Amino acid sequence: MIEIKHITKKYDDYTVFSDFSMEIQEGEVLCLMGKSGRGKTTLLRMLMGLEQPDTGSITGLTDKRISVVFQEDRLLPGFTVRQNLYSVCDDALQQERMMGILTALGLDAWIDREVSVLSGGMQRRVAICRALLVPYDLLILDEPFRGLDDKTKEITLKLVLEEKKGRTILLSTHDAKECERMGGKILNLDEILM
Amino acid sequence: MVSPVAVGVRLLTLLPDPSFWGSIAFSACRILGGFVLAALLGILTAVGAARFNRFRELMAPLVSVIKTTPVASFVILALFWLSSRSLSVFISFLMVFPIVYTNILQGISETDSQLLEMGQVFGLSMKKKIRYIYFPQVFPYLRSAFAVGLGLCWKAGTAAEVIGIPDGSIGERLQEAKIYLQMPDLFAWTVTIIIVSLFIEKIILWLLDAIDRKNRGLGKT
Repeated sequence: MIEIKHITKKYDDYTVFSDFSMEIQEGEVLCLMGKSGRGKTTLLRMLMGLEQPDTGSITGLTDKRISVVFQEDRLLPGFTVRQNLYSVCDDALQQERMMGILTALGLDAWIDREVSVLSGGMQRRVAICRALLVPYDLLILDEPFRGLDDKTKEITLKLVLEEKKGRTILLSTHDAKECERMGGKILNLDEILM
Repeated sequence: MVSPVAVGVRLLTLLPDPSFWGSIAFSACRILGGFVLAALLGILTAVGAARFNRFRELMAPLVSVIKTTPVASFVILALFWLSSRSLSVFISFLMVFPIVYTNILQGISETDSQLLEMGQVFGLSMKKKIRYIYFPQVFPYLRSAFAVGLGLCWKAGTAAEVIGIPDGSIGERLQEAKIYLQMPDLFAWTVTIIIVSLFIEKIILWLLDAIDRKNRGLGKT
């Protein structure tokens, strides 16, 4: 279980979290909702260890392997789809799995193309493929379906759920339908942080 | 003045002379030796400075002094401690080191922080971070430093040889041409320096581009 205990986080004079606590159970799907600036991404960044709370603590992450789809694609420019995926995993062991995920996301024909020539939606799918390929205990999805059309979003969502296999997923989104489709608990930061 | 034809004729008469090639080899080895030393040390110190703030602070005044001190002052000072034969190595080093150091440090400092965060979360090894994140981002700065540095090291290295006059160097040949007012020789040697400098620059930049292509072109880790 991941425990967030009494955290406070400020940026200059703007307080994002003040004495905020919550728990995330093993294997849970938790959807974070809320307006922009409510702290969804800040919370996810603290869970990834990219930022520290000013006070309070986050426990239960020590042995957790984390994978992520960032709000931005954060792909390696100048490298192919294959190289982007190899950069985060052991290519020899993951080859078959990688092809399976790429095929499911309709990217198998693009594997040896440089990522910068792909459309925005395709780059998004490469970022999702990268996150699913890495062995993880906690999957963090920060607005992962942004820029995907409904059909592709549905295919991607289905794949994420198929790949879940009892592991914990944290999804940040503005879209209530995505939360509903993920079938998890909803945490609305607008209501909690009022 | 001297006509281009006279310069061309003089150059053609120099070509079969073994001492012509000997002078080029003498100067090229030393000037490029200084360049290679500066490139290696510039990269290493820039990496250190990017990693450790204290080291960066220590390096800043040193690099500023090297950048602003006139080459002639360095040449005369160096002649007190060094033989004239190794003078061009030292001067070439001093010209190239600040350029490589500054460029690489800037390249590392401006590496995309979002990609670095991605590497951190996915637990990329240092080897993979260098290959996939740092090298592609620093490469344009390195290439630019090498292009500028190669031109400068020939200019300054030859100038140092003209002052120090080491036996068998291009600088000695230029000095002789000046003393005996042999204008065709002066221009022939100047043309030679330009050609050799451009040729070496092309080769080194081609090698650098090949390394970049290899880094991006490999399908495996």
